[in-house]
Amino acid sequence: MAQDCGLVTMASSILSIQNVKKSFGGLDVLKGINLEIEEGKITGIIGPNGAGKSTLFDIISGYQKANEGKIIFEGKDVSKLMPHLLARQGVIRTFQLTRIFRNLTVAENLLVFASNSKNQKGNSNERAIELLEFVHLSGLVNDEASTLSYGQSKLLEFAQVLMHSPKILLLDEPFAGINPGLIDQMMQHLRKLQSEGLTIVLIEHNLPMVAKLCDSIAVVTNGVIEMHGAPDVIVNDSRVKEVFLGGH
Amino acid sequence: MRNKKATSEASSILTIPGLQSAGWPAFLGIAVILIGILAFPVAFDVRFYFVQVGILIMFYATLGTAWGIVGGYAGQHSIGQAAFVGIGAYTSTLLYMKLDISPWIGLIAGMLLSALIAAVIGYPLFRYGLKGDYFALGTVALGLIIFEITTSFSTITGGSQGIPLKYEENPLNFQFPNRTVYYYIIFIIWILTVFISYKLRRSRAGFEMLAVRDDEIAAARGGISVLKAKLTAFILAAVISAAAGTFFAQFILFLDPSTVMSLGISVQIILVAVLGGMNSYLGGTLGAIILIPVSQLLASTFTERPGTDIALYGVILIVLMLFMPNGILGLFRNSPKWRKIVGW
Ligand SMILES: Nc1ncnc2c1ncn2[C@@H]1O[C@H](COP(=O)(O)OP(=O)(O)OP(=O)(O)O)[C@@H](O)[C@H]1O
Ligand SMILES: [Mg+2]
Repeated sequence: MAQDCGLVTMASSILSIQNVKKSFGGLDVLKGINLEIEEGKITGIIGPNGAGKSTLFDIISGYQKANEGKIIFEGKDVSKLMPHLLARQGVIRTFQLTRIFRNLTVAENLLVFASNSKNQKGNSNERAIELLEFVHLSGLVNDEASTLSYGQSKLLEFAQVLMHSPKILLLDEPFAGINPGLIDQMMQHLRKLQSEGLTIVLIEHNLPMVAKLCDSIAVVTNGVIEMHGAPDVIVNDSRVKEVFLGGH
Repeated sequence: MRNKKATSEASSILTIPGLQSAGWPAFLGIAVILIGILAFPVAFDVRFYFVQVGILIMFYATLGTAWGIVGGYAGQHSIGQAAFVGIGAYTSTLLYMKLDISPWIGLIAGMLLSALIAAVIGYPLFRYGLKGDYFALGTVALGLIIFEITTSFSTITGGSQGIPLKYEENPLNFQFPNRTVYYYIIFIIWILTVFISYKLRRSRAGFEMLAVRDDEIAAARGGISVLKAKLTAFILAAVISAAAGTFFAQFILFLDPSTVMSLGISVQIILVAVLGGMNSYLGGTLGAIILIPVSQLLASTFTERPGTDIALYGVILIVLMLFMPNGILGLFRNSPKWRKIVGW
């Protein structure tokens, strides 16, 4: 069903989503998602509201179980793993509605993510200092996270997931509510992480932004991957234009 | 070596600031308080009644602090905590009475049995229970079941009639001619419990409990096993409560179900923790210092109307939950300096 618009090679897929189906009551949200995520690439996922993008993340990260289908990570079937075990394997996500530990301090929030990963590298303290610097939260290290603004909470979550040294990072609308200058910096940071070998999947509604950042884009509509291909191909596709640029 | 460690800790933002960062006044304060507590029974010629109140305060301080680990740190409100006090008390007492095994060994046996029961009960509740409420209800049931079992197996346990412990004055039997010794034994149990709670708050394990309390989903995303964190907290609190239970049986030398595991005792434990501030390692202690003398007074005032004090606790608890959910020490949490000392 998915149209292969060139570029996507099956050669080095780190994450393979195979025929994933999910329904809530009578509502068939995912009707057979097939998607290969290439190692070391940034993959964008776009689609209308309610298309099931976040649900797909929930299934990959173990928070929801698919009714059918498989998730293969690094060659192993991880469909049945609990979220914390997937996290320890290096599958780390953010949530569309930011989740931080509100009653812990900013530093403590990072501490949670400083270990528990099989993928730990480098000195976590230095890493924490760097990351806090980067998201402009250095001055608030000992403040309770409940005092942070919406954008700051979101940035803290971003710092948290990077603390963990993930192998694959699933970002659910990471730029929503962040000021444009910082978005540019976050994109640069993601590119840098990519150059160090990190695989990134991100859900994003802002088409120009996805096109700018991603190596490939997958379009979710009607419960399937409608298309998956190079950004310029996807952006210029008439159906995508129709959905995203208000052509209807 | 020491210095090097201290500086590297200070420069690490991934260390939770502890008492050492509050400086010498904090340590001086602690030293003065501890010396005061230790000297109290001997330095002043106090009536044994007051020593006894001191023992009760430390007994409840221990239980409240232990409850703070599961109810405060891990956010799992165990309502039947007295069950574990009972398990500790009955294990050591029955081993002593029926098999002549020293209550010191019984103490360990009670702690182990408590751990086992907490694990067996906690696992399904945490694994399959949807939210904390199921756990709370489950612990109420546990409390009632253990109470009923103890009451009905009267051939072994003495039932509701209770069992007087045989008195064979011998330190090996956990029995001392000078009853002030019990004051020092419970002092040790209490101070150890506070120390464990303090250290736990600064350890990875304790930290995971806090994360789980705040947001289970986010905790799992961080690689934390939610089940393990909750279970660890529940077992730890159970084990400490059991130790306190053995102590209590040896102290009063008489055991019946309502003395060690009535719902009233469970409520009292929670009240102590919540009043003091259940997220602080000092919460249980502060709560006990305030509440135990008050409850002694209440109990002696309402002798002809048993249950009045318990009903009153219920009211106090509800008012606290509504207006001061973080307890007295919770009022300090927004001051960074005090936060270090009360260990929020
Ligand atoms: N736990 C749930 N129970 C019932 N329905 C759900 C549940 N989770 C998601 N849904 C439904 O599944 C559909 C897809 O939701 P999802 O959040 O995955 O969409 P999305 O593509 O991320 O949308 P958006 O772009 O708005 O974030 C929606 O219709 C939603 O109502
Ligand atoms: Mg979504």
